[in-house]
Amino acid sequence: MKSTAFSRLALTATALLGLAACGKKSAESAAGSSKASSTKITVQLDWFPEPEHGGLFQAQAKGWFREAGLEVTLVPGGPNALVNQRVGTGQAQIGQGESVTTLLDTHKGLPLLQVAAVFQNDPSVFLLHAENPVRDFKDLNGRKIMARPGWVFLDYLRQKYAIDFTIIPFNFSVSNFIADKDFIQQGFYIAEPYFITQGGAPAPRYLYAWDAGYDSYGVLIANSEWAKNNPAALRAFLAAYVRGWDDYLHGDPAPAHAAMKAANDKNTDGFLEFSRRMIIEEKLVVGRDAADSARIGRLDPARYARQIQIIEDLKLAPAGALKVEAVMSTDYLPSAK
Amino acid sequence: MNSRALRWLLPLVLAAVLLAGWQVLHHSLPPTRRFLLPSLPQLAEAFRVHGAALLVAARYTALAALGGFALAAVVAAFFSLLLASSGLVRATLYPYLMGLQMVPVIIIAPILILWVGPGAPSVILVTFLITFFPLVVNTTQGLLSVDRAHVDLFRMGRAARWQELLLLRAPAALPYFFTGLRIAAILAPIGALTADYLVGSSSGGRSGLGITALLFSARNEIPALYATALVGCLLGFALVAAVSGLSWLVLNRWHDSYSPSDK
Repeated sequence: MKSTAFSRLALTATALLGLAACGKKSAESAAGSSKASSTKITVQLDWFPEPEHGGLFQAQAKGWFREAGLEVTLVPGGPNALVNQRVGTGQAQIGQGESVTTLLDTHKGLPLLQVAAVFQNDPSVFLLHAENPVRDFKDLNGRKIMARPGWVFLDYLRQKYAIDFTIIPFNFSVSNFIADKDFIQQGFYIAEPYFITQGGAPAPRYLYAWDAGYDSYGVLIANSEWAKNNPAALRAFLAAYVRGWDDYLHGDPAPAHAAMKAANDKNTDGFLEFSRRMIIEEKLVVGRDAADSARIGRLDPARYARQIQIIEDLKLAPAGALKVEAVMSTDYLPSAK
Repeated sequence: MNSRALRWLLPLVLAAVLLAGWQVLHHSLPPTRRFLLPSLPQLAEAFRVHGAALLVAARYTALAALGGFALAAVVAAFFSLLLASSGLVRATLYPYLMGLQMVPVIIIAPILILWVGPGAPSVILVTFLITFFPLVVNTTQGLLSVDRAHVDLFRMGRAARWQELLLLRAPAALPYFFTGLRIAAILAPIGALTADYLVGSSSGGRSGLGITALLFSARNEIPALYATALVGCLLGFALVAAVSGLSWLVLNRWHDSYSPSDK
């Protein structure tokens, strides 16, 4: 008995040690120009700083969060960002993620509320070489695909087209793709194609998830309890965010790009320019069916109803367990009053 | 004389052969696949372009490795003394210590991220978990492997339990402790690099070799990836050399393994 207490003590001590060091570091990084009265918001990114975070970085670099009385810290993500878990446990107030995965996490009990679109369509697609005989989703039957094993879209494809394929765990690299003409992989089509062509291979072809009816968003997710208690701060945040996107896409992206390079020195001008251009040309932020920027951040309840339907059809949640009005809200977006 | 020269010459010859073989292999690949094994000039170029960034990342990983390593050494010394104190304590604690080693890091990683958060503290904890076990096993074995006659001598002199532990068993266990340290020194940089990949963070633009490797891989910068591997390797060598040096300093004046007859 005594011995287990001992090891627990040791573990707790080391954990505390870690926590203390952790707290010191985040305090360091947050220490900048700030007023004592400003609201602190930590934003957990899904990946290393890149143009997919353009609105956040532009608003941050231009000082629009600060003007709104917010002290915002953008925390870089990566393969183990665990965005929803960190937002759900309050280690971050806001995070960037994908809507269907977030619905599943909401169903698992995490207090999450989807409050704004980052992208009207999640840019995760399949990348194929131009000469690959696979022309549509049905042709994927029996193929080998490198993708994130937990991607709900994979289950959706299996069910919708009654096909099956082998999944190799995603290793966040395009090297296999460049080397192998038959390789098929998941990719962010606003990023990977750049490294594929830089690597000497021709530009890839895409199979878009939304063409299969999988209509998920790239979203900003807020801790729902925090959102309920800080509606003004969240509104101010989203107003600055939407303004940030608008300026990043239609104005000079230099401030955001400088900040992205400072946060991630592997960002080259060529890549940042490519990725931003893709976001603009593919109308990911404004939406493919809109011509102006009025749709930045917009979320459509009807699309959420369809996404919930997908989850129910896949038996990932029982019917009625997820309610549109409980998982998302447009109340905090700028024009909503 | 001749054999001494050979001792220096042969490894260098082998290095030249290996490098030449590398270069030949690179050129024998079809042009579209050559990027998989960069040429030596490409590797040199990667060092020139990314050298500074690699140095920063290496320093981050080295500090994390040292942190986890030092934590493991201290905690292992403490636990070894505890384990050596009685068979009952050993029977009670040992399964749990082994369990600590057996839970795969890849499973601990997401849990650590949620409890401690991504970043240096988590990296240090993972390195600690990886290096702790060989240290505690070796040191405990050392504490128990004391010459029976010496123990009898201490008991005849009515030495207290703590005197026996500190004056007899601890010095006798030192060579074992250093063997554990040397194993841990090999594991620590690999552990810190892997941990950086799994539980690291790039907050403030600072990160270790694991995240650096991940980014190079994601961006298909293969020469830079090879350069990162080389840096990680050098880090391991440096730590092992440091521990060997420390071991020599502590043991050379009295322990048999450093006596001239062994040379």
